[in-house]
Amino acid sequence: MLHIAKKRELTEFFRSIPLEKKQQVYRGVRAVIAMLVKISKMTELYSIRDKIFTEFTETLMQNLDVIHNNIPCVSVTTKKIGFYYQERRINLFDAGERKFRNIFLVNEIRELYFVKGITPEELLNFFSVIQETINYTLIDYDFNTRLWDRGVTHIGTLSDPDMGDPEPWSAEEFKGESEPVAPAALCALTPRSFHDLAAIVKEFETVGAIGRSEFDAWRRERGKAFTIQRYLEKARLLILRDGIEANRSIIGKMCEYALTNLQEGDFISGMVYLTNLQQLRRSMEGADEALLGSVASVFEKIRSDQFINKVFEVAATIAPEHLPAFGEYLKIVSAEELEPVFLKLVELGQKEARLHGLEAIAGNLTDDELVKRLATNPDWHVVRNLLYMLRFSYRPSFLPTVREAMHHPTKQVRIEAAHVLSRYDADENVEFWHKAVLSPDEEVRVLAVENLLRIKGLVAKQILNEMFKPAQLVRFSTLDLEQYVGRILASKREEFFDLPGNLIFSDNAQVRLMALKSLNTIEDPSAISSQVIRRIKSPEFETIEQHEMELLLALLKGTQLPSMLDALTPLLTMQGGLLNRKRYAPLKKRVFGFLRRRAAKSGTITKWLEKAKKDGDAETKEILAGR
Amino acid sequence: MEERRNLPEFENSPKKWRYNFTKSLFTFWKNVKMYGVENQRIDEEIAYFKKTLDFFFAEKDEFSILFDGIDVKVDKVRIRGQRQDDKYFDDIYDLFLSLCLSGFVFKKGVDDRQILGFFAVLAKYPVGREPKIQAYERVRADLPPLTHIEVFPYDPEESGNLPIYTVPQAIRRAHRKLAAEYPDYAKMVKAAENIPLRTVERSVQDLISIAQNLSDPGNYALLMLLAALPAYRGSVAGAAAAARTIFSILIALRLGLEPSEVKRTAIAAYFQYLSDDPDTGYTVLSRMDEFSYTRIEAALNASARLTDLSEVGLMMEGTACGTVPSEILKVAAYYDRVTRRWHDGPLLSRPEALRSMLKNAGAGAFRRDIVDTFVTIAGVYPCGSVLRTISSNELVVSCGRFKNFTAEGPVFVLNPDLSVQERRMVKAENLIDVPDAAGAVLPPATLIQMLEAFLKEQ
Repeated sequence: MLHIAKKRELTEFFRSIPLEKKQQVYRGVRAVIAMLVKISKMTELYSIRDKIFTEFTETLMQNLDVIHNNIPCVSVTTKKIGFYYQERRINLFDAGERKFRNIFLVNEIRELYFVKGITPEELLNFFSVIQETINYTLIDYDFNTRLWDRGVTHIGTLSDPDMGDPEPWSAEEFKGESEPVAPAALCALTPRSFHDLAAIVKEFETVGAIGRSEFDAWRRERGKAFTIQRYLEKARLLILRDGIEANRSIIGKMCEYALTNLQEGDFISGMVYLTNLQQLRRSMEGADEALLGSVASVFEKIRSDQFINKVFEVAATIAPEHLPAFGEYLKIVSAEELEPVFLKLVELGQKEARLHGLEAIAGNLTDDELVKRLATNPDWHVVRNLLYMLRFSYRPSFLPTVREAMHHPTKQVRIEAAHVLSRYDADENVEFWHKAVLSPDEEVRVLAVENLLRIKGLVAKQILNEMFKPAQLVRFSTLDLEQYVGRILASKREEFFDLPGNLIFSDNAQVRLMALKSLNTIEDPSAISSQVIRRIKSPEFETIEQHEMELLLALLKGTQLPSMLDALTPLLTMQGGLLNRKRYAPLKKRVFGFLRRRAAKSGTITKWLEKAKKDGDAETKEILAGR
Repeated sequence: MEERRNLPEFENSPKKWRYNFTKSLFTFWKNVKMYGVENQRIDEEIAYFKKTLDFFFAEKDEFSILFDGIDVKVDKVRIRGQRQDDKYFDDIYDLFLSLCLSGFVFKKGVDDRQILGFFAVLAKYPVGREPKIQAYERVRADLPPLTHIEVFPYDPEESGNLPIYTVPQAIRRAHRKLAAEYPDYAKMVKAAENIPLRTVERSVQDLISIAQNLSDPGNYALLMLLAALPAYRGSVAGAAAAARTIFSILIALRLGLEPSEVKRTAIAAYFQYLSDDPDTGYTVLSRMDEFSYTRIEAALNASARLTDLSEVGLMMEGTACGTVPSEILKVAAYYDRVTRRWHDGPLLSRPEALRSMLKNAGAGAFRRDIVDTFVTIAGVYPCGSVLRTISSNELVVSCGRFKNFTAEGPVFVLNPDLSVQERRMVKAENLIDVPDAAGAVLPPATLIQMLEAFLKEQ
């Protein structure tokens, strides 16, 4: 915030600007004021959220930049007869000029200044302040207090209270209810014994020893919602103690504020009010309905179209912390009539708010007919959002609609339907998942694999075997396969592990590497030991690339480690033919080198290597000896 | 509803008579315009107009009404139209502007003939918006010789450039507003009237902005000394409210609260004891026109406040509502209350009050971190503490911050008649508290000397 000394400094600087710059700046200032007059008129027609104000902001920023390139601060004087810049009248021929100027006259403002560094957010806040004060100056706030509240620091005012001739202090100001002490009496008072000081000093020694983190944590706990809750608890106590009539104004304010908060996007506070009003209603059951009329009218009003429209307007720019409360509000208003709220949500551009809203109102979705009707809506967005809502509304009677949606022409809808179907018992939907494994949509296929893995027994095995046949595998990209393999391994159902296990024999090197990498994520690869052994014994083993070899050998672990190591025993004595005696030496180096590195972690491998040193041929012994 | 300024207790209020004069000027001028100078109505008007002048002539020889381009100053005091009934202010502005007048001065002894002659000329010209110097020249030429009325021209380009307050002046203005208007607010609460909160908001916002940039020790000392004033314009409650506001701002800023939170805390501090009954305070603040979160916080805090202090000053339960501002207010209000001769209950010297707060924090009555913050702000001998120097046994009053018991800080050295002898830097280890001086009210002349020192520094 700019404080008075800064204001003074800026004004003095402004008064010392060289004359030659004034003309140039004057034109810029005139443009700014003319623009502000226009903006002030627009604030009476549109909400500040309207994009027209974003455009104004951009233009005004450009105008101010031109001015601030010359001088860092311009100050416009506001007088009864017009705006003045450097003692020169700013002639504006706009009927709105007088009304705009009136804001400053009513608010005792003498000068309005713009300091270099204004941000677009500040300008938008400035427009809001104009909007709030152009017609009404309540006794509770004014232009100056609102500028401060909104944190606008680069636009400021010099107003009447900041100016004037200081008056001298007068003795009258300091007279009170008690007579001043008699000089003799005060002088006669005995000071504390200085021997006490040692103990007093000790008492102050620990001041400041407590860290701020504890205070900050406590402060976070005691936020706005806590305060409002405490306020309303007190209100309810007074109302229950003294009756409604005596506290009519408090009830009125509670009702008013519940509505205002919701309309202004403060859903957290708004919901605290609504909850307390609900509690009040319950506690006052049996009371005169007319007295509680204002409370009932709040609940009527929040369900009105006009109110809902307003709330959705502010929800377009909702802050993340308000999302759950926004959902709670929608839950209340959709309890009686869900469809209009749902359709509003479909149109809501703010994704997070839309998803929160759909989840919140899902609990109120019970009408099968409504679901069927919405599922056949020609706009696929409606169907998709309906299906998203169905994720949180489990009812077997909705299942046919969901299954139907699996065949919807729009991909996004099919995917959403698959998500919903996943919420239901997989065994009941085997045939749908069976078809889905070959769906054109990748996400649907992944969900199909996931759900098939949830099916009890081995019914799904047959379907997945079909899917993993080489002829089918060529239809999937490596990335797709990686996801399926990931899901299979994540299911921890070892009876399915052979499917990814077989991929280590794929003709496609990328697939083999992907499979090996994925298989390495499981702790005990015993379920695929037969595949590993088969791979080691295969003729291709000798020609496997280094990286792939290491990934394969990394699978030598778990309960089947001895049998897998046995598969390597022939290598100990393998030798090439007469013309190529050292044919297997490179292979041995790679395998034994890897195992030696692993030996530190595994006693079984250490023992096997010792045995290899004993049983191996000379070449093996030399390699194991590191020569 | 009857205007407050027309109530019997305001019969001799200069403010009321300033408004009466302005209204009389307006009706007189309009009536001359409509009926000319020879009419029974005019006789009535001139009689009342002279009555208003006589009120001021009782104490002075000259009385003026001046226009500076924005406001009208009657008897050198700026007044504005405040209510529906005051719409005539716009016509008065138009009168000054269109005739390019900056004001008139009436001198003691002005007679009916001069007044009528003067108004006859004023009424001759139509009113418009654009000031032209020729209009003034025409008025001047038409005026008969006036020995007891002076007229001055208005220059639109030179008007309205009053000096801007310095920081200490701004501190003083904000404090004066808060302390002086508090009793009026309390009356409004009793009368179920709405309080014009924007003036409180503005003063609080200004104090926060100043406190955010409080690098000058003189400004800090001025703030703390103003907070230590025993009463202001006869009201202990007003001085206490302003003090609570200042303390809560300093604590909240030091604790790193956002400016909006600091403001809410300060507003709540100001209004916390506005009514005698906590529930009334809550209800009144809930009735505000602009029922914002600030009001909620203020209302809630007005409902939880210090009510019971045991003999040793230890805090009782139920004195805060658990919110962050309420815990800050509890510390600010406790310190102010036990150091001010006001309520029943313990009265402690300022250093003793700090010790009591630390002890209370240890007993769980305050949050220790908030007490620590306050002690850090106030220092071990807070401003206004009556002390003695150990080396020379002089009576002194602390006027700065003593970080600890070895730090150096400023004190006012008092003469035996309690006038200020000088301001001097003293080591805290050379100072000792005078516990029996708790609540001692220093003579106004001494307080003026102390406060003047900080205003003159700028």
